[in-house]
Amino acid sequence: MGAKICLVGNPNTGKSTVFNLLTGMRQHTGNWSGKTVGSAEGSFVYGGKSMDVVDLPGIYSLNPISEDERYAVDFLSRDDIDTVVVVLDATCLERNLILALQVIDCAEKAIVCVNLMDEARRKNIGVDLEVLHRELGVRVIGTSAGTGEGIGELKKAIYEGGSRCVHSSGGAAFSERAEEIYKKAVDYGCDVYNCLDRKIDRIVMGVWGLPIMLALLGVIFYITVEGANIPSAFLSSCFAAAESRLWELSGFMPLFLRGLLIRGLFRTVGWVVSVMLPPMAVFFPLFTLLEDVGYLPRIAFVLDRFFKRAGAHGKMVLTICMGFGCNAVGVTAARIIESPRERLIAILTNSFVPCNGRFPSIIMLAAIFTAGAGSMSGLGITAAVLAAVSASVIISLAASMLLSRTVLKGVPSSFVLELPPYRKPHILGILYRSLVDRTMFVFGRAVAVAAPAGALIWLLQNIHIGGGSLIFYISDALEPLGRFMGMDGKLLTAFILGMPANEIVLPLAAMCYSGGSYITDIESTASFAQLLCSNGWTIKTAVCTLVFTLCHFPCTTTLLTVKKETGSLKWTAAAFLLPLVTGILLCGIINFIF
Amino acid sequence: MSDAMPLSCIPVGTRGEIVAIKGGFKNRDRLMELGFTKNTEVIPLHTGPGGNPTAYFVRGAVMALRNEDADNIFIRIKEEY
Ligand SMILES: Nc1nc2c(ncn2[C@@H]2O[C@H](COP(=O)(O)OP(=O)(O)OP(=O)(O)O)[C@@H](O)[C@H]2O)c(=O)[nH]1
Ligand SMILES: [Mg+2]
Repeated sequence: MGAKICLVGNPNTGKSTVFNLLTGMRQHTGNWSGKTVGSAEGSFVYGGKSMDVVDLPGIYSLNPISEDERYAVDFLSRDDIDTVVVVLDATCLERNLILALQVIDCAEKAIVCVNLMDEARRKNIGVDLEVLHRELGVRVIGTSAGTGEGIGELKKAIYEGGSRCVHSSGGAAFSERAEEIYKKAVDYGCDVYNCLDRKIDRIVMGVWGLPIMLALLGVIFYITVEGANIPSAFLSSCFAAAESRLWELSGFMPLFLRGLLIRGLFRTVGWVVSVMLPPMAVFFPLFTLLEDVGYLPRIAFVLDRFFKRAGAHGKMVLTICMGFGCNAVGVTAARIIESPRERLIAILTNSFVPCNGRFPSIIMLAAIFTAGAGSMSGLGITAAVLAAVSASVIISLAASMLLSRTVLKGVPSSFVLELPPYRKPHILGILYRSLVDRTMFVFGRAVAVAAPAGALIWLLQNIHIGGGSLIFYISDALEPLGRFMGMDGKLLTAFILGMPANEIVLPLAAMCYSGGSYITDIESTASFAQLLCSNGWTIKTAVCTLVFTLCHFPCTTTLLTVKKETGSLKWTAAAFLLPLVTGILLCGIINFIF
Repeated sequence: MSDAMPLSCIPVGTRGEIVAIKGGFKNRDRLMELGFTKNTEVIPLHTGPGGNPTAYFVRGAVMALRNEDADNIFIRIKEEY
């Protein structure tokens, strides 16, 4: 059993980055307060001794008020921790020292790690580590986790173990003592009012804040739409070639098995990987770029007035942003919202925003109605995608407003939003994380979910009872509801079968339409759109499908996460029904009007 | 303390010093833990579109508060920045 070490500190001081450097793991990092809401464990070996390290959510004090903070503080009070490493932000010691003093006081043994030394130097903030060491009474190591500076020294210090030191007691005393130490150890030479960060802030968070945000998102969507086409076309031709080759090679098998494995299973996987995966793989790193630069809390700042009016918490923007990646992550991220009422609102409305898995569907549907409008240009598609995403946020706001006027009555609670400094994104790190870690994860899931779903749908198409196939009976039963919603029974069947993962919904729909036939080759988003159009799709079908893509039951993973986070079946059911009923009503209305 | 006024009222680009924090216990403690303690210097940096929320520089960090919440903090203006 090795020594147990845990990392604590204010939010966004680089704990997860230090953790990754120590352990060689790839815990998610992001330039905003509240990125980590659970714990991660890893270990490293130094001098022949193995050390277990735990990364915790950031805290402002030892009196937690939100779930993520409670988690960290509870963890700190466990008695099997050998050394607590307090990670501080060198550019913000005046506040960070308050927590440092509190933690050093109650920890068995502590080490102080003053991180972000590179940033402090750049901002002309001098930190005297020697003075800090003398005043705090424990070891103080300066690091720059971004570059790896000082990590060797930190490992050595952890190996040698921290020390115990008791200062004083009493809440106010800590902040006075912090200020005293700060004045002795720090030479603050940064012009806070006129530095570059503030100049950028005045532009991106001023009156032009909203248009700038839309423009930035537009650029990201455009790159996604255009950039995904190239790998998509390439992958599609690979899969098509592989499919016909496999068909030839499998001549010895019974026809039924050949159809099941190749026309059902393999083809569905191929479609998911070649059509759905590329936009996801392009969008995700681009959005992560915004996160790393530090733009997400600025969006929260700019949009705050709308959220206030909806009776929702200002930090809900951050959970929405995480929802763009994955709704389950967005639901978990709601731990940063202190008030239980507003946290529930954020959880229940998160699946209104399209996660990464629904994003390719939106692009495809957008392609259909821009095609209907006469052009297939990337710009037109981008505009439609931007409109759809904005609509999803507006619907989410409207639902929040409804909830906070009815079942979750209350007024917005107070909150403080920390605006981090702008930071240079780690482009290589982002690319690695999203292309290797994430794309592989999505690929794995696509195979795990799409393969059985593809096989199932093929079986449903090819097992005949009485006059028709099974799928005929199912979609026939759903047809009236589908018609009411401006869609059809086959589409609804695809939505239901796609519940384990949203990225398989449209491929399954295409399977239903193509009827397991031998003709269809899907070369790109555009030809995929053509297949749908040739099956009686009109612009209205596309609009209704788009609305239902935004508003329908959350995927299974998200539902399980809601159950875990709320601990209540009632709220899980609400998370299921709220978007579903909204979607049915909206589609019904659209269908009725047009 | 006649010249003390709510934080949300002091103009951008001045330096202020906190003289008192009002509000419920929980709220007050939290603000203090976030660095809004007595005698601390606060600099309003800029306001959002529509004048709300406002970003403040306090103890090395930039924190945004809705004006309703900032009203619990009372400030004395020290000087122009
Ligand atoms: N320049 C520089 N950037 C750093 C350094 N350490 C971390 N960062 C960046 O600071 C941001 C925050 O890092 P995280 O490791 O996510 O911070 P955290 O303390 O885990 O944050 P929470 O989980 O939200 O509490 C990221 O964008 C990092 O890339 C450093 O030493 N120098
Ligand atoms: Mg973290």
